[in-house]
Amino acid sequence: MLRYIGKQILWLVPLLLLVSILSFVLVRKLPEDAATAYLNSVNAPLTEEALAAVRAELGLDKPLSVQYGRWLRQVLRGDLGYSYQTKRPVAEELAEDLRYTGQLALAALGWVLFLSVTLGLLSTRHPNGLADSVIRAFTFLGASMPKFWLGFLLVSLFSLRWNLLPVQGATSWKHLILPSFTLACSYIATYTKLLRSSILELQSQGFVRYARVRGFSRRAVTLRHVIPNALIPVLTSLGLHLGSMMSGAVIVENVFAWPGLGRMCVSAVNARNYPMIQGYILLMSALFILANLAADLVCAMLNPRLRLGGS
Amino acid sequence: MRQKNGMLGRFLRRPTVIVYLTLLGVLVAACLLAPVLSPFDPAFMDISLKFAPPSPVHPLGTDYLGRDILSRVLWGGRNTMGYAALVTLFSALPGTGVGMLSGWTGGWADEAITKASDVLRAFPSIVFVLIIVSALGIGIQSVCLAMLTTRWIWYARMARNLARAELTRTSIMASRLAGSRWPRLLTRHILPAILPQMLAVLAIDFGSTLLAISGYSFLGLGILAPLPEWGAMINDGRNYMEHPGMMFWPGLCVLVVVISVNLLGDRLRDTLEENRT
Amino acid sequence: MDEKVLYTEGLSAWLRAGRSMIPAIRDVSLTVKKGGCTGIIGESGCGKSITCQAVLGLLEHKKWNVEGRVFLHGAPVPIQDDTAMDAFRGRRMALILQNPMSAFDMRLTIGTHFCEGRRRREWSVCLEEAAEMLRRMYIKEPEGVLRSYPFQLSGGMLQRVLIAMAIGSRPELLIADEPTTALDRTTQSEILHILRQLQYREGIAILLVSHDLKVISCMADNIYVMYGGQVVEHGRKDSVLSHPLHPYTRGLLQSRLTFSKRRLEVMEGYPPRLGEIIGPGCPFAPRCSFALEDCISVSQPLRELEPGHWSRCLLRGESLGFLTGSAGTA
Repeated sequence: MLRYIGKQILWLVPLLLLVSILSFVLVRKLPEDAATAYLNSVNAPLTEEALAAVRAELGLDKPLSVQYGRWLRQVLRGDLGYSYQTKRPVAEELAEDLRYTGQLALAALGWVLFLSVTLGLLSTRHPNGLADSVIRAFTFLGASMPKFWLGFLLVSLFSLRWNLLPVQGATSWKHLILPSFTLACSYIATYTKLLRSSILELQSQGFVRYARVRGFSRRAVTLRHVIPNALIPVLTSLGLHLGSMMSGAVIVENVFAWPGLGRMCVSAVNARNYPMIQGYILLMSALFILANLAADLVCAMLNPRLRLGGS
Repeated sequence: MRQKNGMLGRFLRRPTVIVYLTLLGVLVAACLLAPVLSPFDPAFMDISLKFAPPSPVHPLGTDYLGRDILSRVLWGGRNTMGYAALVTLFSALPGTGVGMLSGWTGGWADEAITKASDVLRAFPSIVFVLIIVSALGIGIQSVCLAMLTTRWIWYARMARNLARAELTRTSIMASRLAGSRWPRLLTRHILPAILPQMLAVLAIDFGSTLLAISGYSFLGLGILAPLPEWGAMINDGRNYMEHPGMMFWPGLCVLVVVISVNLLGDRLRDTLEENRT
Repeated sequence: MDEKVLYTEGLSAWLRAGRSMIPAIRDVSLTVKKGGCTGIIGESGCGKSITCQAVLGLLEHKKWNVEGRVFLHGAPVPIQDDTAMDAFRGRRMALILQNPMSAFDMRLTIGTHFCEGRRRREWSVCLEEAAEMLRRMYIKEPEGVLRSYPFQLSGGMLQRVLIAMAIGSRPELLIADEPTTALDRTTQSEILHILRQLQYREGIAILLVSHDLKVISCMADNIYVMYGGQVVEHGRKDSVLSHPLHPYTRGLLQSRLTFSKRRLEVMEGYPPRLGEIIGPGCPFAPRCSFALEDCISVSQPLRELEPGHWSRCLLRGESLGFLTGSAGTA
């Protein structure tokens, strides 16, 4: 199994290298070069001497490959430079924002698991019945719904019209409800569909029927056999969906003014805050690799055949 | 050939297909005919008339600058759908070509495409957009370029899988044995065989491309302010939540288009599957 | 000692297909005696498995319309009530299947299967019991088996595990639906040996279903021959095998050299598929070399032609014996 996972990771290395080079080159070779950007950011006058001094200080006069090596070493030590906007270390800021985005993503995950299992079970109770049709319509709607629009619809209903939930910000758990649901919505749709088909398939499978033959109630069989087996594909693909979830979080955070990574990165792009952009890109890549690894591990843990097959 | 026409007929006769195809057709036609249909110039401002409620003159009301929302929705659709179509087309064409070729040749190129698409499928697409946008500057061109760099590989993967399946068929084997050269084989035999499937993929991908483009414009990274675009219009409206009309109509348009193409793609796939069994 | 463990009365099942109903089994009445083994034989698709499933109340109401009554030790079994059947299935009536591989959840170890539904703290006791049960199935290292996953074991091993699980709750009736079909020859005889021991030592009544005449003839003391969803002949093993009264049984016996699951080669044609039996007459008539006019149009009741030996054929045994001249009636 270790070999299997190792092989999976091996394929990520070129991607990681590519991303790191891209994000490195991004800061060094810009329409507006890093020294100018730096001077601008500290409101220093753009004199030739100042530029030369900054270049020497930042090592910009060395060849690119040397600079890359130096930069990579710094990155590996966790030194991502300083944000132009706040003058604070990028790593520190990212860690703060990551906490909020993590909250958002976890809450969304909760929605996804809870609602898609519930809806999946409901829809397979009577296939092609009324509940099934309604849920199918919902999955279509949910998968096609633009997140930025859904967010505003929810806000205008729950916050402005009914005054139930706060509009924006991140000061209490109530603030988390709407953004996390907005983020979760399309995944709920996807996974409900996935669960519906895998539950239907499982229900016709020998061991599920045989569990009934052994005298276990429908409920017990659903809890012990159907749901765990149906969740395997869901859990393994959740890791693969993390990337798109992170992209989605950018939109959701901007809709709800949620102080996470996504909001930060858009404001960094607008402010040409390159160290932050660079940090964001690197962090995303690292998260992506971790998520892949986690997905592989979860998959192996849930699937004894895979776990024992390799060893 | 007759069988294929029959399949198309069966697809077009499904009631949901008729409904959504009409819906989509009307919307696309209205946007294409925006220069004729729209009552105002989308950029024409009349500050004295800002936030006007729907009226015969402004059927959907006006926005915070007194611009006619209907006109902006129509013109915005041209931008949103136009760029989405452009990106979809230019990722589908090279993607399908490369995919068919790699399916045909096999070997390391084939494996590289498979692996690359595995990795890229899960990679946050926003990262590429950020890289290109920060390097080339904010604007729709950067967003499109970023999307093109990654999206084509999905088509390559799809086309590659379909082509592989097709290559094992006896009819293909026969024409291979009969000495058909590969360009002919690919264009005459494999392309027509995989085309319906690729169209279904294309329809659904168009939907997600459109969501992405309007999403990036909403974030202020794509189409920029005075130009009308659905996502950007919603972004304009976010500061005026008490006037939901500004956000409601463009959002509804996005939803309608995406639902329609998703449904059409889905039904097309269903029809193809029925056909196979 | 003639106590009936299982008794069915006019058991019929129709498959719902839109508006119409396709009969799958019709008027099946059978008996399993205490400590006995009743065998059902017939080609695939003749309704043997449907009968077993109907007895266990496994036919979903959405798809099936089931009529008739089932009694266990004289008390009616609520086969129409899926929830109430939970008290019978696995506890009083156990089933073992043709394909043991499909009966296990691949995520879980054999031990987990045994202890499923028990509380966590009962597990150690439960596992010991399970090991004991497995030992009785001639499994040498039961602890290792309990720790392994289903995909690590062979079909024969899994079938033994399945039997052990089935009899763990000391059921009164064991329904064995083609228990040996998916296994190789050596394993087959081992499994049959185990089943026979259960019957003799523990007094578990067995309803054995097979298309394999050899399996039936070495296990059963009563035989029911099914064709086209009906019991066409039944009686004690000796009398059915030595002088069959129904032409179909005769055909089965003549083709007994081909024990594989292939169609009975001696008889021409195929058994009717579900939905093909429309007419009122004998379902075997189209393939029967003795068929008369009436066979196609008139349905026959089961008649006791000899004491305890019933047949659903229009013709008397003698006339059949005379016509074929083989497999002589005394």
